[in-house]
Amino acid sequence: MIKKKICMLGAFAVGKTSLVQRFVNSIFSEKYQTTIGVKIDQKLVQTGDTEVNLMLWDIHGEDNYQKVKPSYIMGASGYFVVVDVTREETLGVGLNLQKMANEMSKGAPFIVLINKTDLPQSEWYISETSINELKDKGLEIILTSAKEGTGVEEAFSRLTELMINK
Amino acid sequence: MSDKDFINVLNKAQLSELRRIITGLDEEDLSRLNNLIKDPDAFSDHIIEFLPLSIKKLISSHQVTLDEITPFIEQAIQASIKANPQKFANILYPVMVPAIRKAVAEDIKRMLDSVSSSVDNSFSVKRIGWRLQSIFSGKSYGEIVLSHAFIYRVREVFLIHTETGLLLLDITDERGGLSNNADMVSSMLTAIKDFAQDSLNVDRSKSDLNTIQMGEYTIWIEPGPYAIVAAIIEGRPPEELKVILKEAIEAVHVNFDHELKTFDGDTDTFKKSERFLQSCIKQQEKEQKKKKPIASTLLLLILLSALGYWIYTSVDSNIRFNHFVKYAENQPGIVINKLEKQNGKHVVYALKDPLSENPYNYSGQFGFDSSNLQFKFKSYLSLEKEIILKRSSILLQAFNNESIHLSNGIIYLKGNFRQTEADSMKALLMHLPGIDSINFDSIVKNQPFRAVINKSVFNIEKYYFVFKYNTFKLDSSQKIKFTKLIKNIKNVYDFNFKNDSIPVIVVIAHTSRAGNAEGNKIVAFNRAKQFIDLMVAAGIPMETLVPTVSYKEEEKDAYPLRSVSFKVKFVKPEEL
Repeated sequence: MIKKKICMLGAFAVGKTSLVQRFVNSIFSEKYQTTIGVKIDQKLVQTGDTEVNLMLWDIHGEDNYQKVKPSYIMGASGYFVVVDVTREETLGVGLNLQKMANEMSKGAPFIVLINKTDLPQSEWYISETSINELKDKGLEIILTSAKEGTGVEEAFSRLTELMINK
Repeated sequence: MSDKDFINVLNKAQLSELRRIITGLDEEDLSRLNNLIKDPDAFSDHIIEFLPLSIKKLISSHQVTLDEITPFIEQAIQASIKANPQKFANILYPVMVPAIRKAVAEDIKRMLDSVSSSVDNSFSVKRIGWRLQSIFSGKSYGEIVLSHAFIYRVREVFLIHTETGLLLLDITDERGGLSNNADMVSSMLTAIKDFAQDSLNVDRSKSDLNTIQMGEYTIWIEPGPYAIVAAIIEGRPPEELKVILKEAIEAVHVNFDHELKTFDGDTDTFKKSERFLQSCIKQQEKEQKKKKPIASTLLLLILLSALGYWIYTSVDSNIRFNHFVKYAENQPGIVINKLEKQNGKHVVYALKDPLSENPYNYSGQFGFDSSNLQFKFKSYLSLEKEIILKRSSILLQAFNNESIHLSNGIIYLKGNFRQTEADSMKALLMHLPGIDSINFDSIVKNQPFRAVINKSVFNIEKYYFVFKYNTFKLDSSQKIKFTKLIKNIKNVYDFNFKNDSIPVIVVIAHTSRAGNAEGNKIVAFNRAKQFIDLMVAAGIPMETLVPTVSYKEEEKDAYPLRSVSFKVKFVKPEEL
């Protein structure tokens, strides 16, 4: 049995827990409950012939008052940097976290998830141009909606694939 | 051409060329190699950079196993320590000192924990109960405390990779694990541990979260460099369990060092570490009181009752038998030699004088009869006072002694005895063992002569014997009467009459009145003579016996018809 630790990183209220719940339990709740510390979930995924048990570390969102503890990221085989498409500042927070995560995880693969894409584009504050710029920098980006489930399965499958093939 | 001739033909340049062709090396290389081999220092310096790589490759390719190398390394280390212990001590100092310090600190902590635990319970009601239990059970107080304080059961043991928090192995006891999802529990444990360390801002290398208390469950975490072992324990574990956990995590690190360092998510490798974790599944349970089945309890009670009854009857029987034996031993003429029990029956081996009382006569008083008691007698002659007296009394039946007693081998006889009687009695008794002498002197002297004679005469004349028609035969009662008659006659005859008179017995035959009177007189006279014959046979002198007939036509005779009566007369010797 292959087991992998995956961390969910991002600013507060970007939808990390919702993405995990959508992926693990196929549910979504409009009610917001902030994560304190870390919450663990797991999901068994199949990649090719390999069955992988993903241990999902849903880490609390980072804000001015609560910084993500590096020790949570230690030992992660991959991670997501989650960004709220309607809050531009969450991209900056996410990218800062990614720098720390890259160091702690010794260069583990990651994917940037632009979440809440179910909301009207008129509310999107991260432009397509910004996304393309990030892609150009070599970052892998997937647009997701925890509410509708868009891109969620794809994101987890892709990260698993990256981890296995690393 | 020989080889030598061939070499001589070649010049130096040609030889160099030949070496180069054969070895592939020029002269300079060959010279360097030659120098290298000849100089061991240089040679060892040269190969030193390749040697570790070669060993590593050998081990990696499994051509050489660690097990094969280990003895050499151990020997080398041993030899080195022996040669220069100080050097090795210096090498180990940086490692040993912190390790010793840590071990001592752990022991002190463990001791303090135990003391704290004891103090916690010192004055509780529970503690008082334990004290009482100790007093009543006879066990030491320490044993009782231990039996209550350290009852525990290790339910589940996790081996967790420290860095990733991933579960490497999960072992449960026979009841199954407590956690629904061991993977999540192990990750969460790691997260909690990380959170605690980060939040408290403590040095990770020195401080670790090692105990989590959750209701009746305790989670003990024992860290290692790359993995931790966490045990979920029900109850109150002893401090010794920490040592077991520590040994387990050490064993895992010794055997899976490489796998732990290079762990990339494949947990199958760690299945082999199960035996180390299995050693942590320990338990110490309270002894449960077993329910005693009613049937067996009842049976036990019946058996105990039966046993009790058997013991009671046996004891009672033995007590009664002992009393009986004691009683029998006190009886004259009985000497008990041996007691046995055969087929549930008491067997008594004893000596018995024929004159002693048969023990069966009184065994009934003690609850014994021939069904449970048997005597095996051998006859003997008892010299006990009672038996001597009894024996003497039997021999003196024919004499009119009033009483008889024995003291210090002397028989004392009281009664009206004549000298001839005394002599006869003496002759009879003096042969009996246990009798030294007979005393009746005082009695004889005190008796008035005439009184004795008169009594005997009165007795003689009182007797009469009745016979049937034409017969002369004494029945059994008449025979007894006849004996007494003779005894009285002899009393009179034995008396010393100083020759002034001699007693004569007139035997009077009383006739029948039926038939011929003369004929009846003849028959009666013959009856008198026949009776005299009997008396002569009994020792009465013939010359002192006179037959006569009494015929009376009227029924005024004091004696019955066909009877014989007696009359005593004293006559001068010349009249006899």
